[in-house]
Amino acid sequence: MPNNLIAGRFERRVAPYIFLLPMLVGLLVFRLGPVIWSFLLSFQTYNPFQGGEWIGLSNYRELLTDLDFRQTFGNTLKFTLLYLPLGVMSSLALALLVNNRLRGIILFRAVYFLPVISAVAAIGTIWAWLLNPLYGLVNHLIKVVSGLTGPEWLGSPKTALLTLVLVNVWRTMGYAMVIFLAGLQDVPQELLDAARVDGAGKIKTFFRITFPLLSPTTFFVIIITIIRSFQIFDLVYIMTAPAAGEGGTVGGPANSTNVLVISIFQNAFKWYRMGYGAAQAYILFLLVAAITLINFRLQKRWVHYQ
Amino acid sequence: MKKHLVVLLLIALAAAVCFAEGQQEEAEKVELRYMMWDPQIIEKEEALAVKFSQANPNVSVTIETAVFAQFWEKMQAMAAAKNMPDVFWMSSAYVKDYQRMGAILNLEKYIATLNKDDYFESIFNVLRSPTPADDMYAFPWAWVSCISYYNKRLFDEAGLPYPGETWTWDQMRDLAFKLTKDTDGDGAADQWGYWVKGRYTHLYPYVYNNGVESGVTDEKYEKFQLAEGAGREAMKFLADLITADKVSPTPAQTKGVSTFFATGRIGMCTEGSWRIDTYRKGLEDPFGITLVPLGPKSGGKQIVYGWADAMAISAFTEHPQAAWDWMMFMCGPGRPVDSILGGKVPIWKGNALSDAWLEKDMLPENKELVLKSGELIGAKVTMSPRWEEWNSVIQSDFEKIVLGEGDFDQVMAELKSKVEKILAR
Repeated sequence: MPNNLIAGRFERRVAPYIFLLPMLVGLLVFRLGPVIWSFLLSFQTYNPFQGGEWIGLSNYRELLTDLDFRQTFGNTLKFTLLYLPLGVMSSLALALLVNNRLRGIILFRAVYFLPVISAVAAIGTIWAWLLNPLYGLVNHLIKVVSGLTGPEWLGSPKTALLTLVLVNVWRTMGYAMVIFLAGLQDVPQELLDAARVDGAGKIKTFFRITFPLLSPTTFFVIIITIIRSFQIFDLVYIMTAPAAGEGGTVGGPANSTNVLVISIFQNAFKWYRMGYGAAQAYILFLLVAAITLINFRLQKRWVHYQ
Repeated sequence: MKKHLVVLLLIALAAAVCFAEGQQEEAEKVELRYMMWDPQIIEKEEALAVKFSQANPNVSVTIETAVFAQFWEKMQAMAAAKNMPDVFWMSSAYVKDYQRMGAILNLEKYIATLNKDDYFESIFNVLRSPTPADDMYAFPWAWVSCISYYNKRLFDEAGLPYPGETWTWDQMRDLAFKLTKDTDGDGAADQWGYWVKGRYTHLYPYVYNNGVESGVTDEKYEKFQLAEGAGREAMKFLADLITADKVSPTPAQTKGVSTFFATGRIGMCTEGSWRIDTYRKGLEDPFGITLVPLGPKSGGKQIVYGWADAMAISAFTEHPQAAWDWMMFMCGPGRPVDSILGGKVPIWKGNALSDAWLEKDMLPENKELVLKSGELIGAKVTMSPRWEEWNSVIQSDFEKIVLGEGDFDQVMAELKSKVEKILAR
């Protein structure tokens, strides 16, 4: 067999795997490894000092009777239910707004995208400061303009979760806006022109032409938004963490903003209950997997690919 | 040939001797790792490490830091890698957990060699584990206690006398009513007589001072004591200050402010003695300190809630003696008083009783009250295992009560079951 033929075969069959190797090793060691390891941990009492003891389904059973976990689970669902419509609608509205050829529109697109690339620590800290019930700028303005006392924002269990949702919408809408914008620019101009010629108004054109054609994009944005809201951690952690020596806990007040990932973190790293934290992580996984599956089933009814 | 052989042998012998000596020197060199969480005093700690190495030329100390919030996560990661620092700061809140997990050394055999009169020995009990009668697994370098603070300007403006050392809850509440005001006339109070938010420094001093000698849990760390009897009475009294009496701002109003007493809108509060430093720097008004008021079930007996800022030695250290020597150096007369700020008290009596610590030219005028409070720390004051976990549950549920998210007795009953479940693990 000629040498160059052997070399050619080698290049075709083996070489790609050599190029893939670093990525595969990374995935196995840093992704798949922890995924399997944490699954095993969820059946153990584990801390790094003492190792673990196999306790079967005890961690999962404890979750069923844990009052604080029940509240945490509810908070996570509430967060998602509030964030999903607000997040998707505001990004779509923003995309429609910047989807025209006005002079300087690129500047607006960039400005709306800025929060996405800003550090969440900075965003969280500044918003927490702006929304401080007694000393914050927002309540000060409310008082000056209307003479009324503003809401207690992050201070009250009644408003804290909604406040976090609103800040998160503000922070992330630029991201989905860009995706919607790409989708909007894919809508064939001739269809829009034809609708206009047929006498359809702007609203009718949007609901009959644009929105159905945008549905694959909307579907993608919905999936991403749901997954991200179930995984919310950083913003909640930063905005609800008490000031040094203030008292109260992350996820407060009164546990009203404690979400699943915060609870996983607290159990695993603050209270040295790795096993219990891992069990919560798998509940989160099942939740996200189930909802994503349902979404994929439902998409056949409303998503139209061109 | 023979000559060459002899020379060669001599060279080999000399080389072997040198090598052996080198190895011996190597073996005597000790490198200690030391980890702490207060960035404010790192330079002072570094200077102490240099001083220690000068006195012990074979020992060098490397200092590592992490802020308190990340300290325990890092420690966990280091433990997993069996790579913990030889000596590290230990919070009274974690000492029992670390002892139970076998992560820190029993110090009893070393402590037996100390002259205990040189130290505030009553603080040692808080660190003994599992109960105040057992062995010590950490050694204090300083201690703190909970005391009451009052804003002298607000008292003077209202024409009220400053509280004395033996005062009662009722007297405190009376003063709080008189100090609560709507100064800008908008119909809502903007100056309050008292401030309570639900921190352990706000709640537990009242539990002890109502005659509950072992505090939140019983002595066996099995039962939660705040849902009934004198413990319940303390929690109810404090919650009522916010909800019924309205002499304290709610946690919602004070959200995001580190310590609301420093705003100058609060007449009185109960906090850790280390806040003396905070209020010197942050409060524009003059302030005074006194003991925590006595509850109706106290029988007139002060049980002060206090604890230690301590250090522990890793159970995995290869140099326990050198680690102990370093620890004693850091907890003894060599540690400068200015590395222990404000109302923290050096464990070495000689330092605490010095003029440098008493700071007569600074507020509060009666700083020696902190020393007095130290003598009154209860013999059964301790911190149970899993303190950090159940303490955050209590804080969270106290907020539920005072922010109108649940009925007092129902929340307390739930809290009892939650805390006892944590204690039982």
